[in-house]
Amino acid sequence: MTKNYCPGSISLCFEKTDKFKTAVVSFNMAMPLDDNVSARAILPYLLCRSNSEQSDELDFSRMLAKLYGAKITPYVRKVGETQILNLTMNTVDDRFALDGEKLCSECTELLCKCIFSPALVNGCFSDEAVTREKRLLCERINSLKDEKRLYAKQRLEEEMCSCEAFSISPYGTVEQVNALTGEQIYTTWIDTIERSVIQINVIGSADKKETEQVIKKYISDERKNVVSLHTEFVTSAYEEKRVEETEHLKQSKIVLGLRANMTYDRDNLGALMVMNSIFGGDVHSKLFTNVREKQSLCYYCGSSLYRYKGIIYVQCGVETENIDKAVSSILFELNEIRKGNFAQDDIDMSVLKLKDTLHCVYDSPESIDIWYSNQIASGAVIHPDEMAELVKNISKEEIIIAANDVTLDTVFVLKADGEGQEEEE
Amino acid sequence: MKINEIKSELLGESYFEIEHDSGLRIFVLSKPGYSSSYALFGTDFGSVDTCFRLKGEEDYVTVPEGIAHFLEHKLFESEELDAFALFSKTGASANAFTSFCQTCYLFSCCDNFDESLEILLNFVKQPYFTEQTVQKEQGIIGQEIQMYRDDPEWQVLFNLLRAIYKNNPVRIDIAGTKESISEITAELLYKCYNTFYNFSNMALAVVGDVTVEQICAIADKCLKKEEPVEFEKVVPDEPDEPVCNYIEKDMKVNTKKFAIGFKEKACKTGDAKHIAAMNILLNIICGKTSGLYHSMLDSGLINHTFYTEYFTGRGFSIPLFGGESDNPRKVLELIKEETEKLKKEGIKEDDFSLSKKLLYGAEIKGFNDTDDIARQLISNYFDKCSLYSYMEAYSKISTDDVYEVLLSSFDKNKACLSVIY
Repeated sequence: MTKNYCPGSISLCFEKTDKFKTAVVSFNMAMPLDDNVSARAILPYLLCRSNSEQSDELDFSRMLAKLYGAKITPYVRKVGETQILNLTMNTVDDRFALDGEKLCSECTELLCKCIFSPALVNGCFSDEAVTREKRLLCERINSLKDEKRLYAKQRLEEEMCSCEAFSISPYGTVEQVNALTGEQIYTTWIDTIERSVIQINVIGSADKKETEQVIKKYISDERKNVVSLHTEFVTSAYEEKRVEETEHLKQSKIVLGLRANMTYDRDNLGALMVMNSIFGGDVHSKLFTNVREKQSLCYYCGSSLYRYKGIIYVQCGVETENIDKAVSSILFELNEIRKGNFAQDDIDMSVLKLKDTLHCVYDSPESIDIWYSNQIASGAVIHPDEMAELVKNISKEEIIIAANDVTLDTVFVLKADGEGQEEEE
Repeated sequence: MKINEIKSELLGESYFEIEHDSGLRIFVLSKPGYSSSYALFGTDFGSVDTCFRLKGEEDYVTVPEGIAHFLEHKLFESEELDAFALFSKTGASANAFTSFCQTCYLFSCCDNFDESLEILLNFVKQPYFTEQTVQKEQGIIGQEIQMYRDDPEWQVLFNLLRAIYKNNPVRIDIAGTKESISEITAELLYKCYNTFYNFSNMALAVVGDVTVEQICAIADKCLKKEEPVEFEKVVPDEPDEPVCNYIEKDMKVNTKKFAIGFKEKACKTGDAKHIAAMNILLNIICGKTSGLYHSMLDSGLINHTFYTEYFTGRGFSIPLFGGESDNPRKVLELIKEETEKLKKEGIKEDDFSLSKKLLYGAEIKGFNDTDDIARQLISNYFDKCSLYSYMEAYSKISTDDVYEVLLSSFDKNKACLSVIY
C-alpha cells in the first residue's frame, strides 16, 4: 500500500493489484465524536443516492447497475473516539468490462461527484430526501436494539465510558436525529468536506496517476482547518461497576469491559494481543476450553482486544441462573494468566494464530480497505506484517505483566425475563 | 485417479476436479498472488435429512431434529485431543457449519497448509461419540438454540417456512429444539455418520495458494479407499397450498420484521437457468433499480434492511422478500400488485438487460473470496452443476424465460407473510 498526499491534504492509499476480480474505491472522512455526530451520520446515506448531474435516485441506481452492478455502500462507524463516514464503491475490475470501460476511474469520479457535488434543491438538500434519511437513521438506531449482543456491547460502552467521548454512538440518538433540519445538515456537509481528515483507499488494477487526476478535479484548494483527531486512553478502572437491565429474552447476555492499560493504540500492543489470545481470543483460549467446553455454560464466550481505545471486551450468553457463575469463571481465567498458569505452548499457539490472521488481510479487497481505514486517525500506514512482528518475541513475563495491568471496569448484564423463558413449546 | 480441468474463458481462470481413488471428489482452484488457502470438507447431509434407510434395510429410521448439527459439534472431539487443539498447533482458523442440506468442516490459513489439511481429513474420518460427551454437548447446543430464539431475523424466516411448508423438513430449526436434542444418543450419531459420512456422499474443495499435485499427495497419504454406501432419503409429499397465509410472533422488538414468500413447485436443485431467471425477476419486481423499491422507500414503507432472495435447496425453493416495516401487509399487497401488473404487461427489455448486467457483475464479484468459492464448489457439486454454471446461465437467458418463471412461481393466493412485532 502506498500513501500519497493529494491537494487539500487528502491522503490517497493505493494498492495496485490484479489478483482480485473487483475494484474498490473507499472514501473515508473522519471527525471527532461530538454533539454533531447525527448531522454527519446522515451524510453518507444521503450522498450515496444521487449527485448534481443525476439527481433522480431511480435513474442514478439504474446507471450504477449499468456499471456492472457497481454498488455504493455507505456506512458510519467509530474507531476510538473518531467518527468515520464512509462511502465505498465496488465494481468488477476493468479487465472484465465487456466494452473496455475504465470502471475504476469512472467509479472514483462518480463517488467524488456524489460527495463534493451532491443533488441540491435551492441550495439545500431536498426536504423529501432529508425527511426520508432522518427516518432511516432513526430506524437504524432502533433496530440495533433488536440485535441483543450488539446492543449489550453498546450499553456497556455507554456505562463504562460515560465521561469519555467514546460513549457517544456514531449515529447519535433518535432525539438528535429528529431535531435535525435540512439547513443544519447542509452546513454540516460543508463543514465536513472542509475540515474532516480525508483518506481515499483504492484497491484494484486502476492507474494511480489517472485516479489522482480525477480527485484533483474535485478538490484542488488547500483545506486549512483540518481537524486533529485524538482518543483518550484510560489506563485503568477507577472502580468496578455492574449494570443490569431486564429484557424479554430467552438467554441472558453478559459483556465485561476491562481497561487494558494502554496509553495509545500501539503501546504494549504485542503483549496484550498474545495475552488476549490466550485469555479468550481463540479456540485454544482459556475461555473457550474451560468456560464453554469444560463447564458447558455457554455457546459463545470470548474476548477481544480493542486497541483503538485500550479496552478488552468479554462477551457471552448464558441461562439467567448461571450469570454469576459465568462472570466468576471468566475472572478466574484472567487470574490464572496473571498468576502465570499457562504454558509456552499456549504462547506459541497464540503467536502462530495471530500471525496467520494478519497474513490473510491481503487476500480480500474489503479487509485491505478496513485495515487501512482504521488507521486514518493515527495517520499511520502500518502493514499487517509489521503488526505480526510485534507479537513475535513476546515472553511469558510480558504476558503476565500485561494481564496484571488489566483491570475490570464494568459488567453489563442484559437479563432474560421469566416471560421469555416460559412461553410456547 | 482422474483429473479434469474446468475452464472459464470469461474469468480467465480454471479449476480441477479430481476423482480420487478413495472415492472422494476433490476440487482445487489455485489463486495466484494469494497468501492464504481455504479448505472445505463437506457431506451432503443437513438438517432436512431426518428420515432415511440404508440400501437393503427394511425400515426407515427417523432421527431427532437437529442431529446433523449435533454431529457437526461432536466430530471435533476424539478420544485424545479435540480437533481445535490440533489446528491451534498449525495456526489455522478452523470451523464448521450445518445448513439445511450440508454439513461442512473447514479451515483457512497462510502457513502450514499441508499439516492443517491432514488434520481436517483425519478428524472428520474419526468419529468418537460416547454418552458422556453427548450429554456435555447438550448444554452448549442448548445455549446456541436459545441464542437463535432471541434473534428476530432468524425467527421471522423460520416462521415463514412453517407457514409455507406443511411437511417439508426445511421448516424445522437447523439446531433442533432443547427437547429434540435431548433424544440424541451416541448410537444415533453413529447411524447418521455411517450413512452419510462416506466418500461417495462427500467432497473436498481447496482454494488459494495451492497446487493440484500438493493436494493429491496429501489425499493419497490420508484417504483410504471406501466402498460406496447406498441409502435412500425420504422427502415427504408436500401439498401445493401453503399451511397459512399469515403468521406472527410477539418478541417485543423495536422495529417490526417481516418476510414474504410465494409457495411454488420446488425448483430442481442445480437448475441454473431457472435460478438465474428468478434472480433477474426478483430484481425487476423490487430490486434497488426498480420503481417499486424506490416508491416504498420514499413513502416510508421499507428501510435499508429490505432484501430479495431466491431461497433454494434440496426439495424447497421460495422467492423471498424481507426487511422491516410498520405495515408489512401493505408491502405484501404492493408486491402482489406488481407481479400481477408484470403478468399483464410483460417483461420490459430495458429492465431485463439492466438486471442481467447487474447480476453478471455480482457473479464475477463472487469469485474474489476463497471461502465463497470453496462453498460454491461444494454446493454446486452436490447440486450436480459446475462452479461456472450460474454465470454462464445469465448469458443464455431471455425475457421469455423470465416471464415463464413469473407465471409459474407467483400465485398471489400462495403468498405468505411472517411478522415479528
